This record gives sequence, structure tokens and C-alpha cells, in this order.
Amino acid sequence: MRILVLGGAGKMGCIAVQTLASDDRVDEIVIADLNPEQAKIVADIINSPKIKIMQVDVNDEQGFLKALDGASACLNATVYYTNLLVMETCLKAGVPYTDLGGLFHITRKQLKLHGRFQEAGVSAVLCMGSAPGIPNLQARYAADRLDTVESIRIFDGIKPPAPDDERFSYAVPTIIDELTVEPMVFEDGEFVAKSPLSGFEDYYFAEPLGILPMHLSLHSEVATLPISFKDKGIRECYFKINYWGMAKNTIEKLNVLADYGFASEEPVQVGDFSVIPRDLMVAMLSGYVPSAEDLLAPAKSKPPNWTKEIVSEIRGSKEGEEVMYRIGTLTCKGALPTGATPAIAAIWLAEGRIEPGVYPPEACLDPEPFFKELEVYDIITRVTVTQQV
Amino acid sequence: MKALVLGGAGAVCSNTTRDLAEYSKFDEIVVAEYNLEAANELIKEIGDPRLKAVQFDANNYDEMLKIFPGYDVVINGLPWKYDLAVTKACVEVGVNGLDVSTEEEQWDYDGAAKEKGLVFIPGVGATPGITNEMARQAADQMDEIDDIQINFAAFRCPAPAPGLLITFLWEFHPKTEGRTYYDNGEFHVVGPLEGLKDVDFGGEIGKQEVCYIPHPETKTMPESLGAKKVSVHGCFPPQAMNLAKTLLEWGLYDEEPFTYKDIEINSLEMIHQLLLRSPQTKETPIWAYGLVVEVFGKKGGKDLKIKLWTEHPPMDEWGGEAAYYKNIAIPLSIGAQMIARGDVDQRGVLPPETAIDPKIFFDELARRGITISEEVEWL
Repeated sequence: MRILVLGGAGKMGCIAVQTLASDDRVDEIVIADLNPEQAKIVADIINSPKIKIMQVDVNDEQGFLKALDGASACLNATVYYTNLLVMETCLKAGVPYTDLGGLFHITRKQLKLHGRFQEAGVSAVLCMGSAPGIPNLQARYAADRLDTVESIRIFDGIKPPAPDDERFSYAVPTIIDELTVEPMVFEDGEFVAKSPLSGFEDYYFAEPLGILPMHLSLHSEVATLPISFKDKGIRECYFKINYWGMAKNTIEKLNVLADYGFASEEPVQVGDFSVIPRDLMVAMLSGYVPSAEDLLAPAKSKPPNWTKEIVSEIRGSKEGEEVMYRIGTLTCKGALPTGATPAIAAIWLAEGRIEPGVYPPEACLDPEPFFKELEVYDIITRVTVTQQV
Repeated sequence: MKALVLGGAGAVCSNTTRDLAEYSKFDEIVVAEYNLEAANELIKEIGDPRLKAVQFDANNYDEMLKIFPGYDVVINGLPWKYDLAVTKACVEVGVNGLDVSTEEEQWDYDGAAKEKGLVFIPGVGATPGITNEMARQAADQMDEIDDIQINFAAFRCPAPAPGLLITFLWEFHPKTEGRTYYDNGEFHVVGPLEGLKDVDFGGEIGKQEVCYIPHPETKTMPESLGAKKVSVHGCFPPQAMNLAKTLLEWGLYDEEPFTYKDIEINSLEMIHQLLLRSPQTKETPIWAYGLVVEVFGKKGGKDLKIKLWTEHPPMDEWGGEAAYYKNIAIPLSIGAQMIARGDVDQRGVLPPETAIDPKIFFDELARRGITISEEVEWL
């Protein structure tokens, strides 16, 4: 089994590479990245004979096709803007595809490729970057046990870093988008745009996380779950998180820069060259992203000293009785599920366990065996069912 | 009598030109502008036959020497980087002048100005400017001056004009020299966003958190008013303060080059350029200027505190941005008129608190709607 990890030298990609390297089903992992020096750093830290490095630019179709040759699956861990382009090339190469999510709008466009993938006999599972990914499977777990689904409320609770920790938890461009693009929610059966950083509520997570302030964020689960469970009568779906796992102070600073135009994509002429303020902001803040060493280091704590819980609360009914499922997936290393979840999806794709076509996770993955595979990495899923005595 | 207004069609100084047209007795008011079109438009709009425009490039010192002679006063409304050149040229050609900020080296021309019998007053705006007169007003009522605390709230956007963006960035730059307070014979250097305290400016501004700001009052008042302690605290609107805080905390004031799209660039320079061009840096909900000066001292052996504060018409009445600009522009116009009509009898390069009589100055401000209130408290 040969898995190509596109952007495998990146912040989340390197964790996927590490997960794949530890799995006996995988024979070879290709770190396909624009930056071979960073790929070498990642390969040296993981130190597995299964790892190969290839310099790949997704915009160079021929080069990318060559890298895909012989791959059992492609795990796209680049920033989500490339998703459609990468899918087109995978389709051409006949290589199964998975990614970390398309931040709602791109996911919607990706799902439209279903017919063409089905026709070509190629499988694709979208939105497997932990969240999205895990909440979709949590929802599926509950939906399978309910006659109707009224609402799916997702809470991604992350142990807050120290107030003066100025680092970004993952890709700076994605965080800027999550901060500046209006979150979509499914409300009274309709998709509605809300203001960024709105809808605050406190949510109680497993100890020692406790109560965390949650706010809306644009996320892909909301793009697919209301459609997947339409027949169950779903009326409400939202995704909330606590400052994307960053210090509140850091988000506030990012917000200030965005307010003063640094998130703008309108080019600005400065002297002899044209600058896109948003790109410049990403470049200026690149020093505030954790290093590969930090991301690949073992968890600093052990269960039950959890540092992250992804919770879905699914309300619905069974045989006329109201039932609520609270499903929580726990980890002691926040970034780990973001790499492990797509890694498992890539293996399942390589094993031919997914039908041809383009699917959201809830439509093609069996939750229970998937959660079992996550347990290998101390990523534990628990369910609580609330119903009348 | 003739006045020359440098940069007289600019964001701040166009309001000086308007004030001169409305209140002054000058026979000729010449707007010297790099942007001649803007000057002609302003003159057309004001419609006063005494107004004229001339093309002027402040980067050309010889041009100053050619244009300045023959005027009773040169009113410098240019960005502060031209303060020194304008002062030097005024002294060289023997013409009175004034401006709205202060460069330390301007004082070096004091002797030459005295010799030529002219006066040049740096810093006749809001702060420095009105604040100097407020401190003087309080100091005149005391035998001993223990502590002068100047506070300002400059409620404007970060980049209404290129020069004002430079001021904003400079005031919080970690390497800016002269961010000091004076205490007992010594200047103490402080960092940006230090010395935080709350000050109530009243009106639309209300209570704001202020910090030490490098300002010339700190430098001039120990000598001019004999103060034992002098400090200047200030703030911009909360969102602009957050911008300064963000730039500082994220190290974006760094002038080390970094690579962007294979080009070596300097972070601060890029930030400067982007802020200059960003539409969001031209907006702020409230335009206003708040000034509060508290002077602690002794009178007849007793401790007292005199607090002075300004009030001005709100932006609805004064026309949006003008509610900020007029606080700088009007003092400049008043100062020029006081020099031209002989209300300033001292000669040399002098700070406002030495050269300008607060009573006349405050009366003139009041005619335009800027009032100064005073509260005396025996301690």
C-alpha cells in the first residue's frame, strides 16, 4: 500500500505521515510537498524507512500525475483551496482521494464531482481533518439509532493555551478564513450566514477541560450533515469551537489586523510590486506556527488528562420517545486526530472499502470500526444516551 | 500683512486656511502646496479674494529661501519631517514662523532667530499647542510647580493622511527616542504602551486608557515653567490602540528584512504602505480631540491642583473629520495671527508656553467653539 500525502511536510500533513508510518498496512508513504527541505526535516524526525520524498507542485499536472502513479490513495493535507484541483488530477490518475475539509463552500463544490468519480470508478471521502470528520461519524452513529434527527450541535473544545501564547494552532490562511468568513448554520431547516465570532455559549466538556466558551465557526460538517440526514427531518446544525484552540488574545490581535484590511485579497501596489495584504499577513505571521518537532512530539499528558474533546449532541426520537446522544471523542494531543483521521480514511480507501463516488464521511464510513482504529492512538470515543426513564 | 501657509490644502492645514479666511486680517494668504490642484479647489470653495495658491515642493530647500521672504509669518502645516528645514529657512531669510510639532534641533536656531529679531514657535497645535497654554495658565496661578500631567485623546483614524500615519506608527515604535517623563532633574526613558492609566476626557470620548507618548511638552516645561515633574500620556481610539498593541506584540515593528514571494522586504515598511492604502485605516466612528491637563503645585505654601480640560463642538456640528483636525488647525491659525499683529513680543525659537499669552489664545479658541474649563482643588 502506497499512500501519497500531499503537503506531507506541512503542519497537519506531517502528523498524517507519522500515523501512516506507524500502521502495518502501509508499505510506503510519499511526502509530496512543494518544500523538499521541510519534507526532509519531517522525514528525519519520524525516521521511518517507509517514507519517500517527492517535490510536487499541484499546479504542475504532469509532475503531480507522475507522483500519483502507483499510489493506493492520495491524502490531501494542503490548504483547502487546492481541493478541487487535486481531485481533478486524482480522478485523471484513478487514485482514491481524501482531504481535511473544504470549509463549507469548497466542500459543496467538491460533492458535485460525485457523478464523474462514480463513473470513473474512483472513490473520494471528503472532510476527514478530525473536525470535520469525527463529528460526521458521531452524527452517523446516533442517526443510525434514531428514527428522526431534530438537531446536531457540534462543540470542539480545546484546552486553551497560555494567554500569552501567540502561536497559531494550524494553517494561518484557514484560521484567517474561519475568523473573517461568515459561519453558516442550518436553522429552522434553512442555511443561514451568521457573523464571525458570534453565538457564544458555554459548554461543559469532559474534565479536566470543564467549561469552555464556544462560538460559531464556518465548518464543513454543517455543509453535509443537514443534507445527509434530510430524510430524518433535521432542522438544526451548527459547529462551535473555542478560538480555534488559540489564545483569545491572539485571535483578538488577528481580528484587529483583519479589521484594518490585512485580510483583504485586493492587490495593493507597493513601489514596484503588487502585494495581496492577506498573503503578506500570512508571511509575516509564519513564525508563529508550531514547528514540526512540536507537532510530532508525543502527547504531553496521558488519558484521562484530556486536552481536547470533540462533541456532537444529536437530538431526535426513537419509537416516538425523545432521545439525545452526546458523543465525545477525546485526545491528549489536540493536533493528533487531524492527522490520524485522514490517515485511517486513506487506508480504508486504499483497501477498497469505499464505493466509487464522492462522499461526506457520514455517507460512506462505518463509525464503530473507525472509532476503534482511532483508539490505537489513544483517541477515545464515548457515548451518553439521555432518554426518559 | 501677508501669511504663507505651507501645505495649506492638506488634511489638517486646510482647516487653518479656512480659519485664516474667516477670522484673520491678513491682506494676502498664500497657500503653498505640492498639490496645486487641491489648493486651487480649496481656494475656489472658500471664495476669499485674499487667497492665492503657489506650487511648492518642501523637499527643495532653495525653493523655501526663494518663496519665504516678504511674508509676515510662515505657517507650517507640513508633516513634521519638514519642521527643521522650515525653521532653518525662516531664520535664514528673517521671517517669523510656527508649526504644529517639534523637532529637538529646532531650538538650535534660537540664538540666530533672536539676532534677527524674529520669532518661531514650534508646536502650536492641539498637543503640543493648546496643552502648553493650559499648563501655562495653571502655572501662572502657582508659586511652585511640582507636577504637570498632560493627557490627550487623539480620536482619529490611523491614516487620515500620510504624515499622520507616520506620527501614529512613530509614537508606538519601540525604537522611538524621546519617550520620556521628567522627574526631579532627569528624563526617564519608557517603552511604548507603558504607564497605563485611565483619564476621563468627557464628551464623546469619555474615559480612555492612556500611556506615555513621546511629546515635546516633556522636554520644554521643566525649563519654561520650572516644573519638577512633567509627563505626557495619550491615546488614539480603542481600535487604533489595539492595532498599535498588535503590531508591537507580534514584532511587526521589526525592520529586519524577510522574504515574501522571493523578495526581501521590511515588515514595518510594508505595514506602513498597506495601512496607507487600506480603506479601513481611513475610518473611525468618532472624530474628536480630548485634552486634560493637571498641574500640581503650591500657592502661598499650600498644595493645590489645577485641572484644565477642553470641550469642542461634536462631529455632527463640526463636520465629521474636521472635529479632530480643527483642534490642531485653529491654534495654528490663532498663533499666526497673534504673531502678525504683535501679540507675541518675545524673540527667538520659543515654545508656545513662553511665547503665547494664554488669555488671548483661549479667548480666540472660544470664539471658534473650543472652550477651556478650569477646576482648582486645594489639597
